[in-house]
Amino acid sequence: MTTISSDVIRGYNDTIILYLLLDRPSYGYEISKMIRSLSDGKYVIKETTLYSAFTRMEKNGFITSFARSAENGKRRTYYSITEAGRKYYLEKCEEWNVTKEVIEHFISPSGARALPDSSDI
Amino acid sequence: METIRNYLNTMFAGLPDTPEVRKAYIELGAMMEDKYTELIDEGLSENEAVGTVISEFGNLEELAQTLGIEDYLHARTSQSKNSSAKSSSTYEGSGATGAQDRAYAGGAYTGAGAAGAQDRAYAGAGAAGAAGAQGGAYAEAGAQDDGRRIISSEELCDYLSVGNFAALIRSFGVLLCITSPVCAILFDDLGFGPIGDLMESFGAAMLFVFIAAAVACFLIARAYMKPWGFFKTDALDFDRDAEEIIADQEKTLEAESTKRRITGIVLIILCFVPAIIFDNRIGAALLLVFIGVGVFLLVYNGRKKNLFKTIRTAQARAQAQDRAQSRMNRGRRYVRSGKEKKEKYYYSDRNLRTLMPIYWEIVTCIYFGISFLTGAWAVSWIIWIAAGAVKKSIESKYGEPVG
Repeated sequence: MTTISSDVIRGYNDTIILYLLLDRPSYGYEISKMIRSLSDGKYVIKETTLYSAFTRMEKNGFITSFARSAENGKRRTYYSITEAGRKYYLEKCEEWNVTKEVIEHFISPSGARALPDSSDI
Repeated sequence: METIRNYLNTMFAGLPDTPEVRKAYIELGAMMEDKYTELIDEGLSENEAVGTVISEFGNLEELAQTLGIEDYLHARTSQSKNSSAKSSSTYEGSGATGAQDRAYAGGAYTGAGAAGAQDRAYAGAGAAGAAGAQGGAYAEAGAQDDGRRIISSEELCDYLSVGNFAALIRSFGVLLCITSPVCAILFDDLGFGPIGDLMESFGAAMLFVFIAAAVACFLIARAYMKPWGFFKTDALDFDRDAEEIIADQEKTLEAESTKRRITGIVLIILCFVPAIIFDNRIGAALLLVFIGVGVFLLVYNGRKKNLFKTIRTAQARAQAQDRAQSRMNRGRRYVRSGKEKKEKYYYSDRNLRTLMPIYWEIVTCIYFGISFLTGAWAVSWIIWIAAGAVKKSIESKYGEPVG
């Protein structure tokens, strides 16, 4: 199974995390679990990556953190998305659409360059 | 889980102690713990779970900028290409091997001097969050996955105040025992006829009231200390605040302790003075009061000191465990300090379980009670010898040796 290159995905860790926080607050391990399952196990985020994303986004005001006890009484740090975070998320979505569009032009599963249409020239 | 803690401690060993670093330590620890717990629940073996968690931990370099520890990391990885490069540019890909490498690098550093001490300090810091968060639920408070408990400053304060209270009423019980005959002495032969008889029996009755109260004191003290029994048996870590409180109070206690001890001893030595001044029943009663208060002070002092000795022993156990752990890396060995006072026998009978730990206190009560009532001091010492024999036979008949 092809796994993802962390260099490439790095620019979108924030987007991924913000997406998972859109509807409700969550905590570190839950988020990493959701990333794994939503990506069918193709992307496993490292703890340090996740934590540095949290701190960075909190500093930028995209998320806020608070402490809450889980059902089993364990105290956890929860993160929730802010308005600024939602706005940033939408911007990143836009950005990704453009990126994807651009990169798509250079992707060839067959390994051969597609013959240009005469109209393209 | 212990292996994971050790791994995390190693990664953080030698990093500066800033709020950011502490927070990262706690958060990362929590995430790893969550993951580990779930992997175990999914049926993975401990080794597999530990391996997965550690391989997915990532790279501390990533945190460098967030934590403001770039300089430390660069000092560590001497082969790091360019010390002026920001962490984002020294990001070295990742993967299990990356994590493994760093583990070794970190390990090497722990060996170097003070790093080891730092390591323990962080263990405490991490637990501070965990334990503090648990609030009043002491039964599970701050229990790590590896079973090692970490005592927060709140818990420690509770332990010390309960311990002080128990020490106080326990010593008060001893005081009651010793002074129990005072009423009997004061009211003896005070008058003739029915009133005199009445007063005499009042005095004798008070003796038993005192002794009953004393036994109640012992039992209450014991009940209060019961939830804290794990201080005497478990290996404990203390968080930083707690450690400070311990050191602080130990110092105060040292000064107080000397005063108390001197006063106690002087009182006991001087117990004959009132008997010489008042050559009557008041003198005799005061003699007992002097001895009582003197012994009270000595016992109270000893009990208070024991609280701290217990703490230090629990810490020593934790350190011994850590040492054994690093030697064997697997399998926990319980190291018991020889000084530790522990019940040697376990009784399946509930009453014996309650009474045996205060056996000698009870014997003291009986001894004084009988001696004062009968006045047969010349022979009543036999009680002690009999008591020794009785204790042995109870132990061999009902007790199961522990350990």
